[in-house]
Amino acid sequence: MTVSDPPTTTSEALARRARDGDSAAWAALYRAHEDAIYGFLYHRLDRDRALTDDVFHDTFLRAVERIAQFDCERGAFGAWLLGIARNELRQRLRTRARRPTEPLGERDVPVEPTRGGVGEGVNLAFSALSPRHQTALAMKYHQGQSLEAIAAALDTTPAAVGSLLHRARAAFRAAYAQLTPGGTP
Amino acid sequence: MTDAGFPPLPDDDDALEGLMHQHLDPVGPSPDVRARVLQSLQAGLEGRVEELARPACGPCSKGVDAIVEKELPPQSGPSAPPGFGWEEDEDEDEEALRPPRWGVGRSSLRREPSMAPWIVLVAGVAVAGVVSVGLSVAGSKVDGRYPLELWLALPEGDDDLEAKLRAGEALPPALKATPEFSRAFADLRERAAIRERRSQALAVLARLGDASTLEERLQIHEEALAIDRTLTEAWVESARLRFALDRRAALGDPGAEATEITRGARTLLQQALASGTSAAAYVFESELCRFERDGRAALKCLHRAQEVDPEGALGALARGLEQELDSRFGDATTELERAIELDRKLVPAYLALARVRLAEGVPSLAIASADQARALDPGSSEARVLLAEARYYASGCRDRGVLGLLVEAHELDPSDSRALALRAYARLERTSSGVVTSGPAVCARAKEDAERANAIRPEAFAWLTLAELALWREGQPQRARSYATEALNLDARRIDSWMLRARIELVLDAKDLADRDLERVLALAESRPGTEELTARALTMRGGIGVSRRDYAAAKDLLRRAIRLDDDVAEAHLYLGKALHLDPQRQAGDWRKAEEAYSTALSKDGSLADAWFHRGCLHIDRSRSESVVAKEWEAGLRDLEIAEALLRSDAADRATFGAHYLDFMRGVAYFGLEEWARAKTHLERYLAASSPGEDLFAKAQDMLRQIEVELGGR
Repeated sequence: MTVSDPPTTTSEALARRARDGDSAAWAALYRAHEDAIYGFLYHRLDRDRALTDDVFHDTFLRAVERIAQFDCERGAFGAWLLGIARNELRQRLRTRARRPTEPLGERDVPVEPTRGGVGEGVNLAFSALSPRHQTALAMKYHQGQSLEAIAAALDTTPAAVGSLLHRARAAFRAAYAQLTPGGTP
Repeated sequence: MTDAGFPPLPDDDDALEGLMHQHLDPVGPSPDVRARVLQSLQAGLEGRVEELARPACGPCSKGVDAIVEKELPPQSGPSAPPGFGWEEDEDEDEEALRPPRWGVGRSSLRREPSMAPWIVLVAGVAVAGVVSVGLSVAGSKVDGRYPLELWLALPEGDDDLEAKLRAGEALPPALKATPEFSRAFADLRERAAIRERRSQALAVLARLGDASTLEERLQIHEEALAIDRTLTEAWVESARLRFALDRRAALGDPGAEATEITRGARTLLQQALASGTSAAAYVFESELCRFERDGRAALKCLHRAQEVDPEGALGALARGLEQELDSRFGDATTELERAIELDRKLVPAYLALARVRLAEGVPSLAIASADQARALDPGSSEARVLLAEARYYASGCRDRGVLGLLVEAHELDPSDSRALALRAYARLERTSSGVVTSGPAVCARAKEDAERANAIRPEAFAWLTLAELALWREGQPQRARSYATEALNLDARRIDSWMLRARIELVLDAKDLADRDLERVLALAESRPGTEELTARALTMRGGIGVSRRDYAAAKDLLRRAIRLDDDVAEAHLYLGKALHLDPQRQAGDWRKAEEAYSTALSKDGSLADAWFHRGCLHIDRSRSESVVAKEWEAGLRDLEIAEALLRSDAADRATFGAHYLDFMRGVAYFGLEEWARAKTHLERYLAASSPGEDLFAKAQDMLRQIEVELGGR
């Protein structure tokens, strides 16, 4: 199931009902898309849960506000919703950029390499990647999104996503290698 | 698992994906967040229904701004509109303290007459809400930061600037006096001014559709750039135009250096890069470097383009061009195809892809790319030249229609030396072994084109043409060698050039040099598809060199490889026959195989005088053996007769044996047949034409002495 077409016909039918103010349809749409939207925002916001919660919340509110503009002829509901999430994200980042730099929080403290299982290593290496790489990898391998859906989220093309994933995997391998003493990227 | 750290990752990407899928921390909203969002959705929906239920504020055709003015509540009025996250039951103070939720979207400030009335209404109310919150709170909390932050948070897209400026002007004086507001407002004004300049410049550029000449196009770009100097793409385009004009201007100055021709374009490119980083500027700069034949500088530019646009079409184009320069054609193809996927109208990517496919030796694939480039940019002479080259090679050098394409290319850009050079080369007709067969008039036109091309800018095709004419038409192999070397200096990846120079070296009897050039042919051909025939020819030539060096074992190996690749090369069978025939280490049955090889050569090419000659020699050699009962003297004489006839025909150019050897072998045959007078005549002719140092001289003298005895005895 992907963001742009979790199952498309159902999403589009639900969107039509949602346009008429059907709250049950909204709830169904929310359930179908919450993980994808949340995951996208979480990685783009540097895994800041509090901020992700806010933008995630605003994304759905904005969707309610603009549902009349949604045209299923022009694209899938998921892609449209991701577009809204991206706009919200942009706006929030712009506002945040104007504010004084926050002190380093706990999440920014470098983690010492530890002896651990592969799962721990995977998550540590993953956290060292750029938000764009994180988003691409998470959407592809964690959420099982299609290249088209990732492209819509990252405002690029499916072909560029293929290339991006290649580089992201390489960056991931390099980050993982550095967790092991003597490891080379 | 390692002693310290984590277990190694699997090398396989699929396994890596599985690992990520299995181990990455789950990401999703917490139950609390989910409940909050669903609650807000419900509240938002109810709010919208309420809004819809309220009396309409009038038709929406006046647009949002009108509604904002109409709906702007008094400063002391209600704090926030209902719905969409603004909870009605909160009081004004709490509302002011809560972080804003940026209730106004970019599109809600845009004029969209077709927008559904309720959306305009909602958006208008939302704007009014935000502004009113700011203004109402400002009345009582001038020192508070939130009203200003609300204004700061208003969207700043190009279409939102005017509305935000107006909203800023409406703020209370106390807020407007703050440094934060002043900075932000000045910044907004500057952006609005920039936007205005840009729209004026773009209006000027819109006239490009009416421009018919390069000069007019350049002038329009200059006018636009005088208004807005930040239009990076316009700088790049004007640099392209300057370069095209300067190349044409240089036609009148044959001595102009490449760097002089590119100087004007480089100056404009510096302006482009001063106005902002631009992958397009770096890509074009790499073209200028290539024109200056400075590959290292071109690579640097391409690296910069990749840094500026690592994931975009231009970045992929730059990677493809870099790989093209490095002769990594497979990688280049992948990147260029990606660039095209990202931007279907990226003409330089199609052109580069056509070049790469030609370099890879797959001209049939180059046709589509070059044709696409021509369709997208009908004024491109390069697209036509590449299309012509692709069609020429894809047709096995038989498509004469390419000459028309090259005429068009030359008309489009008289400074395009490649069009003239390729036209020179394509004018000539050649045999399968590369011998030029065109008549004097065609050769003269080809020479004229080649010389004109080189006068504009030295081109490999032009030097190749001149080398072929010097070798085959003018009998000037030394000059041909120097021309072929010029072609190779310009483009060492052209197999044709190495092959031609090898042929020239053979004509000059420089077998070692020829062998070295042939090794380059084989190395280049190895990585290119569809080069079996060419490889077979190169192996054949090396086999021929082996035979002449009497290195028969190596020669046989090379020739058998050649025949396995392409059974139709007559010379391969000829030289194999010679190797089997002449090898002192021959095995029983080798002469029979040699005869078969000569016969196969003749079945492939009956005008191959050498094959007739050597098969005749084989018949005679076999008859000389005392153990052979069935003598073949007559068969040998018949083959020699045909070889002699060919020596007097057009096929003589390809014959490598001396005519006096025909006399020697005939003398031997008549000697065997005991026709002493005829034998004497031929052997005396041989001695008259040869020198005492030759191997066969003493044998001929010896036979003549025996003939004298026989004749004297009668």
